[in-house]
Order: sequence, then structure tokens, then C-alpha cells
Amino acid sequence: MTRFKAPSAASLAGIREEFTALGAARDLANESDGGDVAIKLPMSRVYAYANGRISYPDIGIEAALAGTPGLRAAFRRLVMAAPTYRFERAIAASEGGPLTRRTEGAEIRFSASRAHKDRIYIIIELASPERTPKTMTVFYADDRAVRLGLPIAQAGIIQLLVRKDSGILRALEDPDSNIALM
Amino acid sequence: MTKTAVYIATTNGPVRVELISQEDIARSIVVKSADFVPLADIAEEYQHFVSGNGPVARAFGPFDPPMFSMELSAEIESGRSWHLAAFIAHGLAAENRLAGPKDEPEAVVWATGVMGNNFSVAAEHIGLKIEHSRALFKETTSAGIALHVVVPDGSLDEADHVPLATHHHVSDARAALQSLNVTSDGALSAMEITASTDRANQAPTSKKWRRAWIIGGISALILAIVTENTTGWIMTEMLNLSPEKPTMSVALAETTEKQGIQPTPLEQNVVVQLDEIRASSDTSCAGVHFRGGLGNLVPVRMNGDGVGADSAGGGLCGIQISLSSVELLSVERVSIETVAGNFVGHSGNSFNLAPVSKGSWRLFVPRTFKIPIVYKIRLVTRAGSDVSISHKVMP
Amino acid sequence: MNDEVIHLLRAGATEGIATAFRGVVHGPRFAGTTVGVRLAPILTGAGGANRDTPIYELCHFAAMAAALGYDDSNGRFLFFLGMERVTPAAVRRFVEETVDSQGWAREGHAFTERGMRANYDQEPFEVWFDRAPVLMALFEFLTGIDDVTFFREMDDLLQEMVTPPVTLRGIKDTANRISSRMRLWRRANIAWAAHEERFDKIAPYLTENSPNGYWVIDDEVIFGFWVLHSNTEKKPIREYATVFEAFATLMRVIRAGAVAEAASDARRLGTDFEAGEIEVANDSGTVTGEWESPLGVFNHPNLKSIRFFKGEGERAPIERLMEFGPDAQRLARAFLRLESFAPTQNVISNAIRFKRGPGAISDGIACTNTLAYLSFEEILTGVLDHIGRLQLAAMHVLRAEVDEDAFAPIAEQARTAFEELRRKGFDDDDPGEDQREAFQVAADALPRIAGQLRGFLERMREMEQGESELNQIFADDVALFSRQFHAIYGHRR
Repeated sequence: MTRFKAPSAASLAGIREEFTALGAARDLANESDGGDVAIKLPMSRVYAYANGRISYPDIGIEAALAGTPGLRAAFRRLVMAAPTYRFERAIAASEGGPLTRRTEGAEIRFSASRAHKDRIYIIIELASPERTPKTMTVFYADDRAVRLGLPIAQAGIIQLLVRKDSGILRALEDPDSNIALM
Repeated sequence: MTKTAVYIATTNGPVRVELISQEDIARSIVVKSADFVPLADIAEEYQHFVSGNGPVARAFGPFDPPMFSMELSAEIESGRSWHLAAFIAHGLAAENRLAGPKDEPEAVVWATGVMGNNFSVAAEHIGLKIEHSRALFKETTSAGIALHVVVPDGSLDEADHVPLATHHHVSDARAALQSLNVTSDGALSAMEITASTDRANQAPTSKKWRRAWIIGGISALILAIVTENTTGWIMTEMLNLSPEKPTMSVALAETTEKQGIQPTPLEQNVVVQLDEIRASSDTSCAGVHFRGGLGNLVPVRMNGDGVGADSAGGGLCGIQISLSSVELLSVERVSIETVAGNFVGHSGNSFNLAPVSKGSWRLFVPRTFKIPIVYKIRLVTRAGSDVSISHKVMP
Repeated sequence: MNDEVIHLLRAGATEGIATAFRGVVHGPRFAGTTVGVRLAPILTGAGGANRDTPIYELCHFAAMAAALGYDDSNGRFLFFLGMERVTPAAVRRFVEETVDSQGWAREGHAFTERGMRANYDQEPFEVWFDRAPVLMALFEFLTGIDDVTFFREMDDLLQEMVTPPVTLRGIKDTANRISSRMRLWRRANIAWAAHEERFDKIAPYLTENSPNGYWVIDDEVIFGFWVLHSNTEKKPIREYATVFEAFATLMRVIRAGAVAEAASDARRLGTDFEAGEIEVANDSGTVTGEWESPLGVFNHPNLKSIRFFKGEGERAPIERLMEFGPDAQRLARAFLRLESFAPTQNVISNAIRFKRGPGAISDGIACTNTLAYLSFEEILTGVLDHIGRLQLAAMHVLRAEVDEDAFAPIAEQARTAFEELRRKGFDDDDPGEDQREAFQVAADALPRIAGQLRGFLERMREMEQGESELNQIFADDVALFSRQFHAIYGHRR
């Protein structure tokens, strides 16, 4: 048995508030225990995806990104905040096709394939071969992103051949797109 | 045009070279044709293989654009035994004769060999590679397609030969190209290396003269021979100097007289001539470069100051420089001084042509080049005459 | 409507919050850190006047991260989101390694015995490493609120805060702004209504059923409240378990408030309630701190790999006892009723929900299969014995770290206990570092578990004069509960 001094009218409201909060907390903690119950993607997992610790593509994370504008914006900030080669929007207007992008220590340019008319080379030249990125992420409209795994650099050069109608190229053709090489 | 499929022999089975294209990219690459995934393991080696002092560059280059993409049907492990097959594939690709995946080849080349800087070849595990290629061999021969097995000399016993295949045992990668001759009417057929070698070693008929042109004020005696360069690539051509038509040359005697020097009796008989070597209907520049083809000789018109008319690079295989005198002891030294551009196999600004006793020499121009090749042929006689002829080859 | 949804509705939490909470707390980062039970009250706004203190702590923690060199967005993300395991030890290691390799990036910061301290205008603020996991979990949860729309704003706020000069005023302002946002979020997302309604029923009931000027909470008050409210027409509180939990929560709230009052005006804590003081449990539980189940640490992956408890027979029976701690001892009979009759009530409601037939409902109402108190006592005794063996086994594993003289008398016993525990994790008495650490953690928690068990068993013995007494008590409670179950569910047969 426990006997308390009955709370005053003034303190009753505070006790009520605290009782309510603790009750809701107990529900929340108990609710979350055990079993096959749904979970929402935690930001630490998105962060791991942004910095490559979780491989691209992850279907669950991509689905979450596709469905949540706020999460896409957060993902963009996570990626663009990382120490990486960051390319802001292209400066010059283009008559067609993606523009060469430059940033400190790196350049991305494009060259139409002579052998395959439907493909284009993405050529990344790095000033410092020690900082070799493994992925390219392109953010375009509405914080949507396309990511591409990069092959191993040779003497500071990364080259890959992509389709002209590929998602990555469409994103790169948007002069307002931001690019992160990580 | 006949197409030839080229396969790299590997211990995991044959891998086809499906495409070689020149691309405007930063470095040459090797990719798997199905998904264009770069094959990093051999990319570095391939870059060296096709550029700089690599064999393809030295054999066919320089190139514009200078980089290549080589597409393979499958991944191959790191190592270098793909060299020989790739070298052959480059040669065929240069003539638009490399069969792509959609082409129906009329011949199949299966090759293995690591190439040295001097184009020597060596290979290992040939037996295992043959074993893992049995299906390809059977499919090829069953379809009636000519099958050529190209291996380093001494690496495959006759007892292990592939049935129904023509075997090419080579010690030099260039000989492989020579022996894999593509003719206009059909499939690849083999030529004996000795035959091509013999042809290449033929002594010049030095008594055949060409009409001489007098260079006012300058006497020049030109003698050209492609020599072994500092990295050991030997390309020696001794050619029949029987021109089919008159050409232009410089008579040393008249030149020295204009200098006020009395030519010696020997010098009186020395005449220099310059000819463009062009592809003919039955000999391409590759045939000229590798198979001893004569090509079509077109005289270079000289003016009175010892300057040759510019030669257009399109369709030009090289320049032939001939010395028309049996008494070559009067010549001390002949050299080429390059002001701009480079001949194949020569990257320095100046090189000697030796030995002077050769009758005629050939300087080959790259298949594609961007800047003009501007050079002088400089001749120094024992009597002290020092003359030069200038010429330019335009891109 | 499936069980999960029903459970959620009954509990009052919205599905979105629960899934987001689970996402943070149940991931590998926080496994076994009991972060969930600490984070939940922060999110729901518990803490009274100090409900915003955790956010203030978080801001200080972010400022300390900046002082370590994590002073931009990327650094902050790495610090708060990048650690793969977030335990106090892991955070300490991470921070110490940072300082070892590059020193403090800013002045005025130092390590303390338990954490890190920063000095602002001569006002120090300390964050303990023990607190780091819940602060990291709070950060992670906040990044995702309102469909992740607060993420950028929070990052901008924190970035502004850590841009030199960093001041206490700046930290407080940032904490206020984040707290403001949290208040809006709570109003929109936390379902308080059910709990408010419960309080609005409990408060007048206590006033009416207690001596003037007091609130008395005992076994019969709880039972009486349940009987009164379980069968009303409008918004009944059907489950006995819900009632017990509500009263336990109320006790906790009042104690916390009184402690705060006592601390502020230096009243002595004692057992004379007539003097307006508060009864303090005289066992290992304490009213002055928040009680946490000592079983939580056994969820740590390293401890899970050692089979300290067999699920059904050894851990499940004591789960609720450890959850309620001293309150279970204070309300021993009410707690026994919880242990025995709450499961019976679940059986009845499931039988109705899943239409298991009138027989199942009748049996439930009649409490035919309800766990008898004597049986429960036997189970607890068995578990206590097991805990004793675990303690000896743990000491055997950790013998190298124990005082030789103190250990000698029980060395043989400890070895035997270890060898007789033929289960996973007890096969190598000289294990590697991770397992050794697990045994250390277990060794710290086992005495608290044993203390609670002993305390409760003592209470049970006090409830009876002889062995038959417990049976009689149980029989009396069967009659009481059966009657009430009949009132609630009888018409559903």
C-alpha cells in the first residue's frame, strides 16, 4: 500500500499531463516489442545508403525514397554533405546533350560512341587518383536521384558507356542537376 | 569484304574480340560486349598495348582519335596472353575485316601469345586452352569455316594440332599478320613466312636508275632505310627498285657543282629520288607495312631548291627514298631530321638511315595523323658535301 | 481487423509513430541498449517541467561533437548516424579515438570520468556516455518526424548553433526551437486521449476512496477501480492489466513529482507517510531513480548469444515482475492478480474474437486454467535458483578479475555451476573478449534480478501465514475475478 498526499488542484494538471505522457510512452515501448511488425526506414540506414555502406540499389530504400519527398530531400543533403566531388549546376547553356561539368579536382565530360550510336561515354577525370569515387549520384528535379556504380579508375580516369536514353543520362542532361561522386 | 572472327584462347574457353573501335575517350578500354562493363584487370595493360611504345601503336599508329575500345564476348582473367589475338584483331579492324557478332565470318583465328617489346611471342597452357576450345573448333570446321590456330613457335607439337585447322607457328607477331593474308576474293589463306621473309630480304637492284632532277645549289643523296628503333622493333625492307615509271630525284653531281665543289667521280653517279608509296588495288597500306607489298609508287616533284611538293596523307602508306648509285662509299652519313610529326617507329627528331649500302629505304606514315610530317633528308658525303632535301606530308 | 491493429488502437499509439520508433530502436545500432524505454517518454513529452531537457542535452551533445571536429553537416551525420553500434562504451571509444588522433578542435572541452564536459562562460555542462545512446536515438528519430520535413531545418539550426562563437544562449535558443517543433509534433501525433480519460476516472476515484487529503493506492483500490470501470456502458476500461499499468504509472508520476519537490526543499525521504513523506521501498528497487527492467541488457546481441535464459520457462515468468520492479512488491496481491488473471482475460477475449466456442469462453470465465499463486511461487523460486547458478557461473568465467581470497570459498561451487549449465555459451570458461564482456554485463544485472525475485517472494510469504493461505487467497481471487468476468463477458458465451 502506498499513501500519497493528495495533489493540489494546481499540481493535478501537471500530474495528469505526466501520467498521460508516461502512459503513451509505455504503449509506444510495448507496441514496438517483438514479432513481425512493420518498421519505418531509420535515417541511419539512409545515411549508410548515402555513403555506400549499403549497396545500390536497395529496393526497400529506393521505394521509401520514391514515396517520400522529405526523405529524398534528406538523402540529397546527406549525399551532398559528404566529402566527395560535388558538381553544382552546369554553367553554360547546352544545345543538346549533357554538358561538361567541372569542380575542383575533377571533370566529367561526355563523348558519343563511334561504334554504338545509341550510347555515350561518360568520362570522369580526377586530378588526384588517390581520391577515387565508387558511385555517381545525380540529383535532378524534385530531389529525385539516379545512382550509378563506377568502375575502377585507371590513372585517375573513370569511363563508362551508357545508353543515351538511360536514366542517368537524362538526369545529367538537366543543367540544374547536382552530381556527387563518392 | 571478307570478315574474320578472332578468338583469344584462354584456359576458361575462347573469348571473342567482337569489336575494336577508335573512340574519343581519355584512355583505351576493354569492355564486355553484353553489358559494356569495363574489364579493369586488363585495361591498364591494354592501354599500354595500344598507345605510346605499345605494339599496336608502333605497328599502326599514331592514331586520331588515339584511344580504342575493345569489346570482348566474355571476361578474361588478368594476364597478357591475349596480346597476340588482340594484335591480329587490331590489324584486321584496321582494314575493316574484323567480324562482329552479327557478321558471318569466313575465317576464324584462334590465337594465344604474350608479346614482347620486340614483337616476340610466348605462351603457356596451350594444351588446356585447346581443350577448352574444342566446341568452337568443331563448330567452325563443321560449318566449313576456315580455322586458323596461331601459336608461338615451339609451343605446340604437331601431335597436338587441332584437326582441320591451319596452324601458324610464329616467333614474331608481325609474321602472324603476314601469314594470315586476306585476299580480295575470299577467305584467309596462309602464306609461308619464309616466302614473305625472303621477299623482304631481297637485295635491291641498284643498277636501276631513275631520272634525276637537279637541285640548284644543293646536292643531296638520299638513302632511306627503316631501322631498328631504340625499343628494338626491327622493320627492315629491302626492295626492288625497278620503278614502273620515271620518278624525280636529285643528282648529287649537279648539286655539288652548283656549290662550287667539284664532284668526285663517284659522286657524279649518285642520284636521289623520292616517291610516295600509295595503296594499290591489290595491296593496302597494311600489306605494304607488313607483307612487303610494293604499293603504287608516285614520284614526288622537286623544285629547284630541293623542296619536294607536299604529299597528301590520305591513302599514303609512306615515302620511299632511293639512292641510285652502286658506289655508295662516297656517302658518309644519311639522316632524317623531323621538324614536325613522326614517321612510324620514329619518335625522335633525328635519326640516321643505315647502312648506307642499302639501295632504298621506306619511311611509313601513320594511318591517321593530325599534324603534318615535316622533315629533311640530310646527306653528308666523304668529300664533305652536306645537302638536304625538304618534304612535307600533309594530314 | 487484425491483432496488430487492434493492439495499436487499444494502446492509443498511431501506427506511424510506432513504426518510426521501431525503425530507430530495433535496429542493430541500439540492440540491447534499452534505448526504447528511455526514448519513448522523451517522445511523448514525459518529464513534466523538464520534458525539454533531453533536447537541450542533445544540443549540447551536438556542440560537443562540433568541438571534436564534427562541425559541419557531414561531420554531424557521421557522428549521430554513422556509428554502427551505439552503446555507451562504443561512443566513449569513438570519442576517445577522435581526441587521440586529432585532439579537441575547440577549446573549453574535456573528458570527465563519465562523459564529456563543456564550459560556456564559466557554466559547465556535462553529457555522460551512458546518456549518449538515447540522445543519438532522439536525434535519429527527430530527423524523420513529419515525413522527414524537419530534417533540413534541424540540420540548419544545429549548424548555426555550432558556428563559432558557440554560446550557451545559442544552444538554449536552438533547443527551444527544436522543442517547439516537438510540441507541435506531439499534439499532432501522440494519442493522449485514452490516457487522459483514464486519469480523469482514476483521480476522483482515489479522492473518493482515500482518507481525506490523501490518495491511497493498494491492491483493493486497483481491483475496485477495475470492477467499477470494466463493465460500464460508455468507454469501459476492460482489461485488468490496463488498470494495473495505469496505477503503476500514476505512482511513478507522483513519486517523481514528490522527489523533485523533496529535492528542491530538502525534505527528508523516509517511511513516515503521516509526516507527508513518502514510503520508500526497502529493497533493491528505489523510488528515487527511474526503475528499468534489468532484463533489458540481455537483449544485447553478445548476451543473446549466450543462453542465460530459456524463453518460456525462465525469462517469460519474470518479465513483468522485472518491468514493474518495486511497484510489484508494493502491490503484491494486485501484481499476482495481474500475473494470473490478465492472461485469462486475454484468453477470454481471444476466444470471443476468434469464435473459439462457448466452452472456451466458459472455461475462461470460470478461471479453470488460471495459474495458481502457489504455482507462480514455485516458478519464481525455480527461476531464483537458476539466477543463483548463473551468478556462480558468471563468477567462474570472471574469476581472474575477482579477489582471490573472496572467491576461494565458492570457487568449486562456481565451477560446478558453470559446468552443469549445459547450454549455448557455457562451453568455454575462458571465452573471448566479447563473451567475457557479456558475462560482465550479466554479472552486473543478475543481482538486481535476484533482489527483485527475493523481494517479491518475501512479499508473498508475508501475505500468508501458512501454505494453505496462498491457496485460499487464490481461491478468493478466482471467485472475485470469475464474477467480474461473468459480468463483462457472460453474455458473449
